[in-house]
Amino acid sequence: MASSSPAAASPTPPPSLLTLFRIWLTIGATSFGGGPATLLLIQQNFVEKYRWLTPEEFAQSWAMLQFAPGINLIAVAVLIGRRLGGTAGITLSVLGMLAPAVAITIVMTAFYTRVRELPQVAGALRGITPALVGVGLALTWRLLKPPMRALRKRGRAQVGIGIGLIGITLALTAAGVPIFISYLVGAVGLGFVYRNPIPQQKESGS
Amino acid sequence: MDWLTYFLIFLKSSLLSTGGRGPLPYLYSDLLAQGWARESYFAEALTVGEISPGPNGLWVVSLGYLTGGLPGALLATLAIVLPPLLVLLVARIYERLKSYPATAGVLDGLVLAITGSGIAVLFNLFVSNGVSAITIAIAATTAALALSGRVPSLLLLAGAAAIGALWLS
Repeated sequence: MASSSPAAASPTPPPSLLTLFRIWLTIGATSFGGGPATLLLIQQNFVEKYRWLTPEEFAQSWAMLQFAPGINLIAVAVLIGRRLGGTAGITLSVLGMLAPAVAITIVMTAFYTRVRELPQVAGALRGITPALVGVGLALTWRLLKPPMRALRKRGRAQVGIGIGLIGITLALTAAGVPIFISYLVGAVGLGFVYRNPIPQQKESGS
Repeated sequence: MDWLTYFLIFLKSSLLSTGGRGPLPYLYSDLLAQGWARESYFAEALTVGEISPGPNGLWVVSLGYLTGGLPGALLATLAIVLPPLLVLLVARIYERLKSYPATAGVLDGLVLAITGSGIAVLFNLFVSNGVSAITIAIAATTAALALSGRVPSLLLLAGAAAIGALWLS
């Protein structure tokens, strides 16, 4: 009977390729402030404003991204592009987001190289570098939370193995061993542990 | 400069990592080993990536410009565009991939390794920039504020830049 229930509204039919391209161009040109700004604009446009994707679809894409290599937001553009416009949609989405953003990034870098000799600019960079390190440490901590939570569920021994792997990969990199080896140690090491868990499984009905 | 090697270094860094900062440890060790980058380039490029539009990962494009001019920036762009396309392949096998217990382990282990290697690189960046009471204070304060999640990182960088321009120049 419910003829127009907004809660049950399915996503609107997909946009024309031109509209899709225009939206991505706008996002790529105006999302100053890096990834957080870009993600916000993507969500606002595709989920909230035009409703081409449901919040659930968007969340599912995010979950899948941890399996994909490279920059997550480019993979998001790929997924949204395919969903809304097939192969052409992928091309236009990635191109639309990146062309203006890359151009602006290059121009900003070029401008920076002109002024980097100024003592104030050099000083500013010496101040920014430790801030980047600080922000990087905070990012690292946040990145670390989900796997540590997963390890804690598996028991104390696994938490120890996890911390050990962090220490080993840190030491390998500090010793100049190729990064690839570190990543291999981490991935294979924990993959093996998850496959052969120390048995203490508890069934929780869900 | 050997452009093919240059491109492959960038491609590898993105293909074998995840997220915007994932390529950092690779690029840091490979480009320094080739003598194609200076230590300071990494902080410079990361800063541009935080400010400019688009993903933070575009710091790699900035690094491409600093190390190889416009051709470097364009090669770097190509190198970061290709790996995310693999998400299409992942999407196809996602359900099956998800159900293997080892898959979660591989992904979590990768994050641990990214963390470990990342800390080593951050430490190098910090030391090569110069260790002093001011830089230690900046790193500790920004880490704490960034963890609280209340202050946007762009604002933290602006504050640190102002402190640097005043007292570190």
